[in-house]
Amino acid sequence: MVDNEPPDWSLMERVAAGHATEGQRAAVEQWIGGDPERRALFELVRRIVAGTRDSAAPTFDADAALARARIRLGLPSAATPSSVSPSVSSSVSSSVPPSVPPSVPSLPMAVRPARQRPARRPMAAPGAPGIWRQAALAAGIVLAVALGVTLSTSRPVAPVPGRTFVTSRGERASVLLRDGTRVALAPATRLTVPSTFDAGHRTVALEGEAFFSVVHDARAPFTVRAGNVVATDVGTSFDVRAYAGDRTVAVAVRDGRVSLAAPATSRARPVSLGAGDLATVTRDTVLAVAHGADVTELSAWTGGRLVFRATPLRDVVTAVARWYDADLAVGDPSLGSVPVTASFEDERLDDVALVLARAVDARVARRGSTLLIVPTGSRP
Amino acid sequence: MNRHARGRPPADPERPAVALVGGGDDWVARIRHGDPSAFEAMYLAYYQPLCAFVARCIGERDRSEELVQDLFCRIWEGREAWRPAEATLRGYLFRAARNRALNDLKHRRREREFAESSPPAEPAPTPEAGAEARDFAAALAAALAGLPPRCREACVLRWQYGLSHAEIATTMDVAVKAVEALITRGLKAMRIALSAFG
Repeated sequence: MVDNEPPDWSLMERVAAGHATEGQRAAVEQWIGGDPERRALFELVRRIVAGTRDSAAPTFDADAALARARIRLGLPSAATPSSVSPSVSSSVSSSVPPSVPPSVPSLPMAVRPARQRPARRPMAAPGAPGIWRQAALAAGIVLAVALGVTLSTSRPVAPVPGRTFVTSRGERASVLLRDGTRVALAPATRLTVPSTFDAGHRTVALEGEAFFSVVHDARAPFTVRAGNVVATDVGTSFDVRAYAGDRTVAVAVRDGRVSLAAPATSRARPVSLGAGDLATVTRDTVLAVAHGADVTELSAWTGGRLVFRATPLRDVVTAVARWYDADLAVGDPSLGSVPVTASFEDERLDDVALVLARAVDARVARRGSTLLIVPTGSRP
Repeated sequence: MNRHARGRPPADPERPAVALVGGGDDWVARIRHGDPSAFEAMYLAYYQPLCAFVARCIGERDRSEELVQDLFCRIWEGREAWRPAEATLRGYLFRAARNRALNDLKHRRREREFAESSPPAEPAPTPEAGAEARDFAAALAAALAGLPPRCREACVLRWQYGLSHAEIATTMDVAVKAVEALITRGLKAMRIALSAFG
């Protein structure tokens, strides 16, 4: 290999080991510069690092060791406080609304790109049952600490009756339900599984965002209650987004069929969604369905990738801040509605902020520990 | 608010991670105040990697578990006065584990520091990969085993456990510059050993 510019081993190692900045990665790419030998060298370095990372190590049973430690140290065995379960399960069941009678007219529908449109005839405010949410919130605060344990061990967790699974901002989790359904939780999310959940009766409550891969069972539909919406299916994969601060609940179906209802209004008949459908439901229960949505993009977060298409900057910033648990905000209201198309995978927050600022012809300013996206001409 | 690696996206829950999101420095404060759930979180998060690391150091499985369990128990028993001096919890734990491992070796009069005979890193099972991938994995394991012990230790801490240079420096009780040199040296040696694959 002709080395008029010898390889910077330390730099290549940094990039391969995932400890590099955007600038350092760019520097390595620049050094490689299309030279196949340099490319091959760097790829070998990557393989060495990745191979070492993935080398099998002997496994040890942490749960068993912890159980012994609890006895030895006299720790309370209630890392899963049972005193909370009854209130969680009872609050969930109390929020179950009466079943929707089949003869009522269907929800007003519009089919167009997924954007919220106010109802022509304002409907009664749904009064989304906050009971389960508040109880789950209270339970969640107590349980979040203990559950943070199981959630962080990167193994799917089989739930104990009447549990709430909580992720904080900047945290993801994976839950395996008793029927085999897998749920991926996004940051700042609460999934409540009542004590009555089993293979014959499958209902969960969600606040936040989750992707459900539901085990098929025609006899026992799987139901997700999120915000003012109930999504039911028999065996499907779909994403539900129902953050408390959002104005809408969104359901996107990847495979199968999902039946969507907003039971808070008695005039509703469930709407059936198929693969590629994205439904958004407002508080007034106006439902909009967009067909041919890229659900893979919408659910790319389950693979660690955030994708935004023509999304207003303020919404992008909200999502990014939650994903990274960051102090990131739009510093000028005029920028908030500018549409942004971008995707992020492994970047550091600082780099993401730069990309977003550039996308709207703005810049990043720091105010204390907060990163702000501000117009270029504004004062620092 | 130092709950996790600042500025980094959330860890993939499906992939084993040594550095836990939602833990770290926040746990230290809570453990000092006697919060058992934070202690248990730390236990479950670090038990596997610390045992694996100690097992490499001393060449034994069962004893490595005893040493790690002792470490955690000591932390809990002395929690009120616990003031880890290292910048990160992970750095503290790996350093403490290593110290225990080396002391254990010393007391048992065995000279096997990061020994050749320690459980070799078996090639990760790659059922879907072809023969080339398996060959590479086997050659990589052999190349690692062929590194000088401290070189290998630094490289393993860096690539297998994801420790930063500073954390490795505190674990191995050497200067950060020395860590960088060890890793660079190890990488170059591995590259030569594996040149048939590049």
